[in-house]
This record gives sequence, C-alpha cells and structure tokens, in this order.
Amino acid sequence: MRKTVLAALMSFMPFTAAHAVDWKRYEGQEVNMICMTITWCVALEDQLADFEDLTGITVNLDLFEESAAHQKVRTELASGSGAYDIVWVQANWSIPYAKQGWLEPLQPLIDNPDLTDADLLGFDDLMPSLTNLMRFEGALYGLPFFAATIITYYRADLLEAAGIDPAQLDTIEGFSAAVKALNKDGVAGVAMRGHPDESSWHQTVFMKGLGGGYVEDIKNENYQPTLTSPEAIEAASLYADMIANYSPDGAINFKFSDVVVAMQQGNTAIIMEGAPLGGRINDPEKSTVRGKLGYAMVPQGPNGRHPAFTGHGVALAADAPNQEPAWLFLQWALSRDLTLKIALESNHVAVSRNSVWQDPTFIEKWNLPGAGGDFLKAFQDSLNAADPDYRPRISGWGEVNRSYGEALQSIMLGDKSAEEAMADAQAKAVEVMTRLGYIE
Amino acid sequence: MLSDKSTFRLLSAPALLLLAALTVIPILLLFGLSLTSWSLLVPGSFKFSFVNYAERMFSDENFVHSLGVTFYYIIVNTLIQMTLGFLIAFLLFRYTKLRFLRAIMIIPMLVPPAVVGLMWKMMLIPNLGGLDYYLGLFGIPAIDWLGNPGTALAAVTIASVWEWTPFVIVVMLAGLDSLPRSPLEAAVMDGASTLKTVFYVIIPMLRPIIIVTLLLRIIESLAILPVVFMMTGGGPARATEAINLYAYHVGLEYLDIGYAASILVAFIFILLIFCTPIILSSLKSDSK
Repeated sequence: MRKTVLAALMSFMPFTAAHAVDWKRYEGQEVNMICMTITWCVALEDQLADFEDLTGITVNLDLFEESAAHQKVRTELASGSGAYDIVWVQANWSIPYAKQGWLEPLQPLIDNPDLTDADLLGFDDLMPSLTNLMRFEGALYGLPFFAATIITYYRADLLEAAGIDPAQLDTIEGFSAAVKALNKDGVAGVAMRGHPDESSWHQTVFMKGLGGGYVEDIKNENYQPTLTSPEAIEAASLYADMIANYSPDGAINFKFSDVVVAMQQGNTAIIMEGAPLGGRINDPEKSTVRGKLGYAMVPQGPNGRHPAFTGHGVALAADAPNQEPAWLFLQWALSRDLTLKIALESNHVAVSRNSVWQDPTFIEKWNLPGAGGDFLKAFQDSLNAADPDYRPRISGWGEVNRSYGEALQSIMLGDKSAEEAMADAQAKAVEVMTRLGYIE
Repeated sequence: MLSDKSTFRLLSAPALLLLAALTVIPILLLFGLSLTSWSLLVPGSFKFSFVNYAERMFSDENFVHSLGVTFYYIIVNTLIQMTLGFLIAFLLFRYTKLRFLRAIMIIPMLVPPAVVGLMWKMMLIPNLGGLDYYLGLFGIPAIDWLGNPGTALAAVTIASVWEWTPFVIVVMLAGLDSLPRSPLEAAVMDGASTLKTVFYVIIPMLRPIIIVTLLLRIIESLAILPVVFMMTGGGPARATEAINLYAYHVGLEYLDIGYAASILVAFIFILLIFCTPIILSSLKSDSK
C-alpha cells in the first residue's frame, strides 16, 4: 500500500519543479462535487480512491441526471449555500454564472506554485476552443473535460440498398431527400431530438445552415430575436416535418437517449446525434448495428456548415469552503494521464486534451468500426469547424430555448403553422430578452 | 387563579404559535416575494413591484393555459375518482364475498407517486410498453400516449385514477359499514329500488364522509405533480402542466423567484375557491 502511494506521489511530482506542491497538505479534508451523469464524471467516480490515497482528501461526488443536476447547481450557487466546492458547468452557463459572481476565477490559483503543478495541469494541452468557452471578460472560470458536437450516423447498408450515395448527406437538401426516401418498410428515415428542451441542439444545424439565426448578431451582443426571418421559418418547418413524418413513433418527445436507442435497435436509417455517444451507439452488447454505420459531419446549407458545439467543464464555487483541496483535485482529475486512463477504460471519448486525441492507444480504442467515413475524423473535423456561439450563451437562453422547442413541437403536432409558431416563439423571446435587460 | 377563558388562551397559545410558524408565516413570506420582480439572473432585481399581478400573469399564455389544466385536474380527476370509488365501495358493501378484493385494491395507494409515474410511463411507451401489446391483441394499433396532448392528459388522468380511487373506496366503505341499519331496512320494507335507496337514503346519510373525501381529493388532485413530472414533465406542448408545475419551472429553472411566488399565490387562491364552499357546507351540516 505504502509503495503504491509513494509511486503515485512520485509520478505526479516532477523532480525539476522549483516549488513542489505538497499533496498531503490538506490531508483529512473533504471536497464536495456535483456533476451530471456524463461519461467522464461517471468514470471519475471509480478513480476517487486513488486521489484519496495520494492526498488524504476525501472527494464526495454527487451525480444527477442532467436537468436535475442543472437545477441543483443553480439553486446551490444562487443561494450561496457552500454545499459544493466543485460544480459541473455546461459551457452555455459559464458566462451567466460568472457574471453573477458565483464562480471563482482560476488564474490566481494557476499562478500559485504552491498549489499548482504546471506540468500536471498542462493547461496549454487543453483544447483552446474549449477553455475559451469557460472564460468571461477574459478571466478563466472553469476547466473543460468534455468536448461536445454532433455528427451524422447512417446505415451504410440501407443507403446502398436504396441506391443513395452517402455523399448526398453532405447537404441539407440531400439529407432531407435521403430521409424521405429511406422512410419505408418499417424503417424510420431519421431520428433526432424532438423534446422541447433539446431540439434546438440539432435544429440549429438547419437554421444556421439555411441562413437563419436566433438573434440579430451574437458576436456584437445584439440580442434582438430573429425567429420570424424567412430562413428561420423554413428551417423550423423542415425540421418539424422530418420529426413528424419520417421519424419513429414518439419522436416529438425524443431526448438523446431515445435517439441512441432508435439507432441501436436497427430500425432507423439515419440519426444526427452527439459524437460523444458513438461508443454507446456501437455498444457491442446493446447495438444491433455495430459495423454497419457510416459517419459524416452534419450537412451544410447555403450558409455553410454549423456543427453543434459546447463543452462541459468543472468550476470552483465562489463560496466554496474547501477551495484549495478542491483545486488540487481538479488538477489531478483533468491531468493527461487520468484523462487517457478514463478514455481507455470507459465510454468517455469526448476528451478535452489535444495530446490524448493524438495518442495511439486512444485512436486504437476509439476508431469505431464502420462501413463508411471515419468516426474520429468526423468528430475532430466537427470540433474544428464548431462555433462557440452555436447558440446564445446568455442567462435568458433556458427560457427562450424551451419556448422555441415548444413552438417546434406545436408544428410537429400540426397545431400551428410554422409562421404562427415562430411568431409565438419570437414574442416570447422578445419578452424574455427585454425582461432580462438584453434588449431595450 | 386564571379564569377559564385565560386558561384556554394560555394552553392553546403554543399550538397556535406553532401553526403560525409553520403555515401563516411562510404564506405571508410567499406573498411578500410575489410583490417583487426578483430574478436570480438579474442582479439588483429584488425590488417592490406590482408587475407580476398587474401585467405578467394575465399576458402570460403559459400561465393561463396552466390554469386550464389545473381546473381539468381538479374537476375531471376528482369526479372520476369519487364516482368510481363510490360505485366500487357500494358493490363491496352489497356483496360481502368480494371483500377480499379490498386488500388488493389498496396496493396502488401504497406505491410512491414518483414510482407510479415511472411505471405508467414505461407501460405507455409506444410498441415497447405493455399496454400497446394488449391493445394490439384486439387489433388496436400502437398509440403514442405521451406524445399527443390529448392522450397525454388522458394518460395522466388514468394514472391518477388508478392510484387514488382505492382511497375513496376505503373511506366510503368504512362509511357505509358504519351506517345505521334500520333506515336501510325500512327502505327495503317500503319497496324502494336500489337506485332510490342509494340516492335518497345512503348518499344523504353519507354526506359528511363524502364531503371530507371530496375535500381531500380536491386538495390532493393538485398534488399530482410527481406523477406528471415523471410521465411527461408537463408536456407535450405543456398539455399536462398544471399551475404548480409551471411555478416550479419558472422558479427553479428560470430562477424567476418573484413571478414564481405570484403564481403560487394564485394557486393557493384557486384551492381556496374550490374548498371554501365545501368546508362551509360541512360546517353547516355539523351545526344542524
């Protein structure tokens, strides 16, 4: 036991460091962390004992399903309860949280050689596009552990049988034509997320590809909603049509897990879904389609290609009672070695470190079997093409997102025309943006 | 030596204080919050404002819609539970051999509401859930129960009727058993039909019990939140979102605390509208 501890200690302490971090400094203390049940956090749970051996710090990790975790994080941060030292932050929320002063700026900790082992942290190795998602007014508020984007997964065998060239899926027009052609004989043409909380994650690909947008100008902080533009209406109507008429039963309430199951079961021809879910979609035990899938980037439209993009990170709560031990834990948890270990041992592929993406053992494990396209290439190309402002990253987005999703759903249900539904969503978005002070 | 009146006051004071601390004060605080525009997302918004009541509530389509759903739950769910519960209780009262069923019927009540919601959700999944299989045996095609506003509302009603009708049965049956036998025998002697006996003898005698059950069911019909939460989360297209679930979304998801408080004040107000006449009528019958 003592030997393993010593070996672990040595592997984490480069001899060259002028200041060595004293890993035993906070022995006996506890750190509380909250996260959603996302691959990395779930896998992290099994590694906590090693950290305790190394430092004597106990880490209590609470895992909740996404929306429950989201609510708990917000209420705990807002009330300043100090219940959690480390909180999971989805990139869309890093700015609103930081703006409220709920998160601790990390740079002072990074600059403190007594608390930070620069080699272990390897900050420059973290993908800059992801770390930038965790910044507000230049200051860093979180460390990313997860890179999220979506790709197209298609059944190469079904496409071939129908005489459809996979290259056709590269444009929005070709994609929707293929969906319609493949929807026959008990096979659904496509599965995507229809649930109002999640549909915009997919729908934005079409909306931006066709030239629409949620607001006037995100980059220049002009948040005047633009949901009634002809492009936005066309995209909404296209998306609703695909979900309502060419998708499996119940698709209007599909969340990501339902889309994964739809593909696993073998009666869906094309899905657009998170690249990080590639492992689950190809699960050797649960999937009937392993080896039959092709992988491609999401389709492009007249206005270019817009793969979804967000990151998940971990941050320190501003009122955290055990900030310093928590910071030690974050460095260790995000270190290159542990990231690679987790990626190799678990279902976590969406790693946030460039060096791991290039690691041969990583590539060997994650080069998923396929019948067209290259999974890792589609994943990486999408991340490289992604825009941090895929959707507005502002505090009112949750409410706008939901009413937008509900408007899409009412088109799918046939309750409203796309024009009416988008007019409603626009009115709600204007109300929210005005109330929260984003527009006059 | 204290007078009787002072003794009464002194002895009841602790109970009253406790009651105030647990109910009156939180409600007053809630009302206070509802008069602010406090949003956790807008710094400095903790200010007195009448805007929630004056403007937001009535221009908010979602609020108005959730009011409708609330009335639906109160009226439809309660009526079905009461009618069905009374009918089954009456059958068990008449045919005592069926009494063993009573023990089985209590089971749904013992299942935690969140589990009830999850269970029904799983049974109603199109193609995979159990219900579609049995409907399929009769040639009825798979229905996406929770995917359409109309069927989703019906599904929630079915789950709530399944869970709470047994409660009505148990209470009603106990009431029926405690009725004096002589009026019933007299009715039979006078040649009254079963229907007439029920309407003119049994129901009037059961009135206090019916009123209490009705009151409990109305209050509880809004405590359906966990079932709805698990089954539909309020969707699709808000079809099953009652006012309390709406307040939850506004308060805990959008962190719009002031507005959520005003929605809950409206919620309490609606409960009072429904319950006050019933309480008054029960007081009246007590004083007779």
